[in-house]
Amino acid sequence: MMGVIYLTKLIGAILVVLATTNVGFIYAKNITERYKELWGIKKEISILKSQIEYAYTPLKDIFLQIRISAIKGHESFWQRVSREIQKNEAKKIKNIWEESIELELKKGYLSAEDLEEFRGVGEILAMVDRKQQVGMIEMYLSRLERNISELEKVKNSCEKTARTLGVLAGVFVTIILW
Amino acid sequence: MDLKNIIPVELRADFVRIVSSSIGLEEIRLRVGQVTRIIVNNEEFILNKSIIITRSHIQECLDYISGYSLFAYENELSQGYITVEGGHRVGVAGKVVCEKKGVKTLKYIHSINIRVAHQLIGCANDCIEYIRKQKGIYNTLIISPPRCGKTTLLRDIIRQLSKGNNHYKGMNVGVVDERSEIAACFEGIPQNDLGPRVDILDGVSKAQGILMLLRAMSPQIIAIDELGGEKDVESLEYCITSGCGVLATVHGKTYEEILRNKYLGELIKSKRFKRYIILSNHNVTGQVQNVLDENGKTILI
Repeated sequence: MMGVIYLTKLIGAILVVLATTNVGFIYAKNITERYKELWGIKKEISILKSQIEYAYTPLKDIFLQIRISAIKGHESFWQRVSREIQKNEAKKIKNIWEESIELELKKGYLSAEDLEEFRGVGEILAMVDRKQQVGMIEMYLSRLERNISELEKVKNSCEKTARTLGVLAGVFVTIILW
Repeated sequence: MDLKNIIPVELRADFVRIVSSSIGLEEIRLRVGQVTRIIVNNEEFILNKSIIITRSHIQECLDYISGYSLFAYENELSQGYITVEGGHRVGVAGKVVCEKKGVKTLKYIHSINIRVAHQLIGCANDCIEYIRKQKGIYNTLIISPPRCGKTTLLRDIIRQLSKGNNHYKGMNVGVVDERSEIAACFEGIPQNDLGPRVDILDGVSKAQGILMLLRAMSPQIIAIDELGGEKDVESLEYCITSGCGVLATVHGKTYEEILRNKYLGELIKSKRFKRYIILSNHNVTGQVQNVLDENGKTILI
């Protein structure tokens, strides 16, 4: 009888440690993936900026170009925006942009604040003046740069800690409950 | 491009009802505060009398025309038009923004005129034999008043020379298309049929374009539309002296009138051109009234 109780406790303890470890790893992964996605957006928007600034390329073609060098998970976003603006169905570019974010980017690791800032790019695209557009994109890129460097600090300090804390929290809970 | 897709969504049903195909459709005009008017076979129709065009209709139309990318058409806009897929030309009018070098762009656009592109394949059949010679062409100047079909004729001559036939080989023709009227390039692809041996420089000044083509593409013939300024004529002379055939058009009514032209006159007096094609608009657009030789003598049979 004692053996069965002991075995149950042991299985429970292992499950607790596994669960908390998993939470720690998920937290760390969220930070890493968000960091990767922000870097991806930085690269993608930089292409957008240079194509508007120097090549005078129409948006549908820029989006298709970006899709080719976009990070995994973002291709469908650029593909969708390019497809939608060619439909000519009385939609504003801003709305097409926002809809595409809702459908394609929300499933990623970007935070609500990241997505909110990214939504602003849709408004920039609706502007007529090229210089103003480029200026606004530069502002967005510098904000993005700041967010990335802040996240990098968090990533460096918290990533390992989160994983370790996950394991330790599991062990701690197990000792208390034992 | 289906023209239906570049007009505001509200107007499309009526447009489809009136225009069953783009054959015969000449113009679509949208003006703020007015109804939309279309010209089909020289007859004016109104699209949905209850819809008065607003600024947002114009913006919607501009979004479709430019693919939400007006910034990409800055140069075209400063000249007052955008060429869309299919070679159709969209003219715009509004507040002109100027800077030192000239027109920078247009804002508060309140009028849009969509002019449907037309090609008259074969309209050069009557005069092509006066231009061709066994090797190459006679340098030719087409003289015509506005709206008499000189660009249409030039386009067909280019197509026939580039294509060749059983008796003559096709030739490499370089086209300097400053206002995208000859080839009607959309995103670099000619929308008009200019034959298989054509290299087009789109949106560049004639003077610059001639030199670029000569250096880069070694054409046998260079074609340009609407000769005008001193620089155009200088580049053209350089082109002729470098052994390249020339096809050009100029606004005018008669050979004598062009002879008095400040810049072009000298070129004519020195007999750089061997053929002059004079157009009239009496019966059919692009109808050849006369063909002259280098001395201004009629050779039309």
